[in-house]
Amino acid sequence: MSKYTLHIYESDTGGQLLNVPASYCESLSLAWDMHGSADLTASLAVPRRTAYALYDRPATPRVTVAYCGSPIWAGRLEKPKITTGRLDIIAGGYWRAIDDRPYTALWSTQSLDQFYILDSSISSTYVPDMYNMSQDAGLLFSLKKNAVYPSGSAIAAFYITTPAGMSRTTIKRYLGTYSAKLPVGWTLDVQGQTAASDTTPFGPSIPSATIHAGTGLVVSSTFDVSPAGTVNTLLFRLYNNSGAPYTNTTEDGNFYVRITSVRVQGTASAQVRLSDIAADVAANLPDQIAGTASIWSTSFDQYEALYEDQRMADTLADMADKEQYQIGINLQRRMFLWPIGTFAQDWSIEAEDLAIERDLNQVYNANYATYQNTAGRILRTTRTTNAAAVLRWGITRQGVLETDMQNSTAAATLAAAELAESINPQPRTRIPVSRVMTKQGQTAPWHAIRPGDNVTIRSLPATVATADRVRTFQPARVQLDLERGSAPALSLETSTPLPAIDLILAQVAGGRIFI
Amino acid sequence: MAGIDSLILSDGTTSINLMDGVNYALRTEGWAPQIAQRNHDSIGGRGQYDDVTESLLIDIFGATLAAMLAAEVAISRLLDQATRFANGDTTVSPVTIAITMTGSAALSAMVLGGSLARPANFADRTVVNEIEGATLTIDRRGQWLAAAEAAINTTATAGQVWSIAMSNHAEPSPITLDWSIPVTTVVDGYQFYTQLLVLSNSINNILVVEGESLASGAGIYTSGAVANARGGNTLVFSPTLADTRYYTDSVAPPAGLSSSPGDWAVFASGQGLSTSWTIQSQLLITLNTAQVIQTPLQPWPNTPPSYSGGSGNHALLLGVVSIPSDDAISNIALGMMSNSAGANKAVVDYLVFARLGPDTHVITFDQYLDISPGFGNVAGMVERIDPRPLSALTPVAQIGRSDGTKRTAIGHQGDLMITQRGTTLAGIWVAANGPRLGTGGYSGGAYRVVSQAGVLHTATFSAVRRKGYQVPQ
Repeated sequence: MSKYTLHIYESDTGGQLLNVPASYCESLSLAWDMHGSADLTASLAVPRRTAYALYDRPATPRVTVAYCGSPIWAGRLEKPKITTGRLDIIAGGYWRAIDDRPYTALWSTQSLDQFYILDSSISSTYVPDMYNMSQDAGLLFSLKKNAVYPSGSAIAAFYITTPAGMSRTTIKRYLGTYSAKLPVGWTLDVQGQTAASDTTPFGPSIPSATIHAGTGLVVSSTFDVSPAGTVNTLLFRLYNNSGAPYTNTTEDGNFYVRITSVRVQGTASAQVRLSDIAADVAANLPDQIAGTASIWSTSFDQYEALYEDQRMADTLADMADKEQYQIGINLQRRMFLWPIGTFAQDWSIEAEDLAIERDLNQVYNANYATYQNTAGRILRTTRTTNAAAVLRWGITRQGVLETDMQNSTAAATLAAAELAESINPQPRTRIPVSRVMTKQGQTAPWHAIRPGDNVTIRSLPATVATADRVRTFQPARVQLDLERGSAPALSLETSTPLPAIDLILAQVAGGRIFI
Repeated sequence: MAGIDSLILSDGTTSINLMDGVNYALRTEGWAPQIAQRNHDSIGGRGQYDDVTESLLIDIFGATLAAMLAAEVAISRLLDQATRFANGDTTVSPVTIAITMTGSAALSAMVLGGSLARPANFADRTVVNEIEGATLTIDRRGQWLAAAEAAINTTATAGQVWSIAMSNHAEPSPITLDWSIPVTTVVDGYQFYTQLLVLSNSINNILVVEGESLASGAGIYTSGAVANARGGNTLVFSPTLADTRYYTDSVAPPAGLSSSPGDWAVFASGQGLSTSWTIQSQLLITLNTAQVIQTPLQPWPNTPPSYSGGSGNHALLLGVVSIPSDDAISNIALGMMSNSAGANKAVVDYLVFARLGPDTHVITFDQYLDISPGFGNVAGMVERIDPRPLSALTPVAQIGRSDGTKRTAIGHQGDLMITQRGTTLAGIWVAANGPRLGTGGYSGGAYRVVSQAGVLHTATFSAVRRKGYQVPQ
């Protein structure tokens, strides 16, 4: 047996506040979630003078809970509250520090909404009125009938620019597909500009990359360019490059360029991955994050990853969840990211009470995803059905995963992940635990269970044929409540399904299973 | 009162014997002494027994009315003083209550407050200068404590299990423990990295496994010779791939482990050799039934940037494992993982197994977060854990001179209410030299504490016990 002790420090790296010894602590509630240490509340019988000293610290104190002299929970003091003869504190795990500053970065975008037509007010070289231009179905340029286009000027251009105040990268790569029919002597190119688009005149140009030189014929092809230099603005330009004025005698739209599936990246990598984004957030954002612990490479290509003034904690959590990864901050204030269950331990518990609720309306045993083509039209992936789940529930409930992606494969991947989660409904339960054991039945410390571990409830009816499958779940949150004079109270909250547990309990209640 | 010779309230200056027969008398059937109960606290810092409240009926009298009232006021003031002290007023001295059973030495407990209530016949009895049947309520610490015994010493190096033989006493008794630290002749001195102190009432509760015994001989885990390392060698971790878990060789458990069922905390003494990458470790125990108990991966602390001299030694809690009573351990192993591949990522000097129980205490002095005073040109420097059961509301960890001067509190983690029970106080000190405080300091001794001359430091551990009693004897 060992006891839990509460310790408070001046700051993340400062000394211990020795005037707030562990013996002052009257009650303590600490929790972990999938992101590491979650929240902590404590009540301390502290002399008022000491309480005020803690209330008015010049830095943000660090709070730890130790077991066997070693930290098992770490976070920052967020809310001290002084009452008569008592100091109540609320502390939060360092995952919250991710949200301390907003994050602005361009990693990848396929959104046509990010493109604008460059008009003459920015540069007189650009004369969009001499062209038909739209973003309805890709980036579309076409020449107007009877218009006279001087050589090297009267350019048409769509541009995209990086967010102002971006914390990390410039445009490192752009790619897409085009279909073009241009007169001989006409050029479609892409030019980079160091300056942002709202700066006139533009700063030094990055050498342009010719995408297509007109031949008078219809040509379809792709482009994939990693520009050198510092590119903050990218211009897709169409212009007469023949050396002489060109008069278009054909109908409007006869000569055109349509660029589709255009993607602009803030990295030259073939993929934009959560693991890269997470590491960048850890490195560039919060004061209290010391770096990365283990960032395992993710595989899913994040097509839409453009952040402007974004609080990233929920964003990163959602992205990780979709890929079935776990992201968080460890006790050393370092970020980790790895597949859920990679380091999961197996535990057994004796549950004091089970009150579980599951809603059929949350069940989906078939689904599909929506995505968009470059014209913004909503498309749908192939409908996928989990036959076993349909058989089990007796009905088919089809879910829809709405995405803003332009990649059907990626959307389908997400839909598959969503389906895997939704074939069993999410039980809403909090399980009070009376004993924690190893899988082999040996007593384990109260705090041993971590979210994501595999926990087996031993006190469910033994007559249930599929008991082992039914009884094992992964808690999403673990909370340990400690109070002087009382035994510890542990409770587990679930997120991933407890298959059919409500059905079994209903059967028990209905007398079909005798226990 | 037969059996009780005296019952004295005192703050060290003013002492009131509630049985002196001059101003005070304990009434017949006026007191049922309380017996403290073992508490159910899972939060540390207050010892193993609950506080109790005594209720006594006493008579207060004097030769004159003024003398009677003065006697009454004296009690009231001491109770008020005790309450002030318990509320954190350090400008007043603590108050104790001491009981002396016939034929025995006095036993004391700290008073946390109380009250004195006059009886209903107060006005009537003042005509004879007596308060007859006043109700005295005293809140006190649960355990009665004997006077401090003489210090008993032993010596040991860091990483070596030591023990001190004591006269047998069945009840947990608070211990004040000093241990000496090296002295340097240069003013810039040095400081420790994390220190770990395990104390228990049996040497069988503290077991050690050499890190190098887990080395496979080549490849990921090798044995590396390091001066002053325990056993002369260490276990060196050199992962081929990042973010990949590698396991050491499985070796037989330390003698005594498989025959000692219960909860064991396991610590690794070593270091991750970087300020940037992260090493994580876990323990695997295989039972005879082929079942494997794993502890969760634990990250090694990185060296904080404020430290010079690179990496630092830490005592990492790998986890707590429960050894079954109806099974036995066949072998143990370590699992480690780094987010950076390459040679010499981490080193483990040795593992410490500590059997947990009410009289096993684990405390760390975490200078990863709390830079303690440097150790300079001063002889007789000690570190101390003092439960201070009669002199303060809270225990303390300190560093300072052995003569008690120039002490200062130091940061720690764990429960400082250390106790001993039975005939033995055993312990192990896991510590290594830290970085120098200035250019003149020294920082040798990567895995165990050495003197300035580079010789393994032999620490003197000195224990002072106050025997504890639930029932005064």
